[in-house]
Amino acid sequence: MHGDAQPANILVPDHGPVLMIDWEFARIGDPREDLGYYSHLPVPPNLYEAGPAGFLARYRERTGLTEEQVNEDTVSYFYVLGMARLLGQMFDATDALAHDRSRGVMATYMMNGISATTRAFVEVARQLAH
Amino acid sequence: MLSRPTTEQILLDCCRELMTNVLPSLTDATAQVSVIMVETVLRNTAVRAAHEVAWMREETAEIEAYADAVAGQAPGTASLETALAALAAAPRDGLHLDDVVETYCQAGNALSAALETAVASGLAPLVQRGEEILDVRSGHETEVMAGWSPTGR
Repeated sequence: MHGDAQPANILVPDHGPVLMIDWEFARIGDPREDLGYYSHLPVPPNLYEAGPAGFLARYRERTGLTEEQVNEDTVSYFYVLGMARLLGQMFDATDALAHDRSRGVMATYMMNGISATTRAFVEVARQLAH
Repeated sequence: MLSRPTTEQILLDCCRELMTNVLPSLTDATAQVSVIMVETVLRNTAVRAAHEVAWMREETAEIEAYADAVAGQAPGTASLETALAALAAAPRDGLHLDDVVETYCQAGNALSAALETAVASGLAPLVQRGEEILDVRSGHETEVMAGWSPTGR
């Protein structure tokens, strides 16, 4: 799985194949983690939120996975799973800033992502719990 | 000391300077993104400067009352009692930021222990109250974000 599957990491040239870049978080895992990660990402364009049913139908068509394997509940499950990992990384980065082990505006800037990610994480986790 | 312009006003003025005078003169895309990120961080900091002490104090009071209520309903929970004792020992007298932050951190630990206790003990109304406290915290964080979105994405 890619580990950071989002529009900023997809190059769409005028000619030739679509390319996926930035594989630093790639690892062996369930590919639906990428699907969950992308599903609520606040990065445009979010084609999942625009129409989950149609998006998942196309995903199943391309991957050969079944509706039991890929549906809105499994997406939410893998979203929570993936976000728990991402939030852990964000908290580690923030802790490094707080204890002077890291510097740079990028990490400070990305701290904002914790708020947005946590809010979405809690919302989806509550839906799953119910 | 000079109290006006406030820290918030000064930081927002720096933001205006960056966006109106510095950014338009830059041609390097990496530098442009860097300036936008700095401007966002300054804007976040302006909101924090204006409100963070009050928000932390308000949340701390709410959390302490909540954790006490949970402890009252589920007495003898070691993790919660330890967290409450640490919160009680945290500095309360002054408004210096280090003291407020330390107390707020201890309140966060107490909230965590209280929520875990409420869930484990099946205290549904207190679980709901805990979620409301989390929502308040989330609301403050959203205000600090000041319209943030991932730059360059």
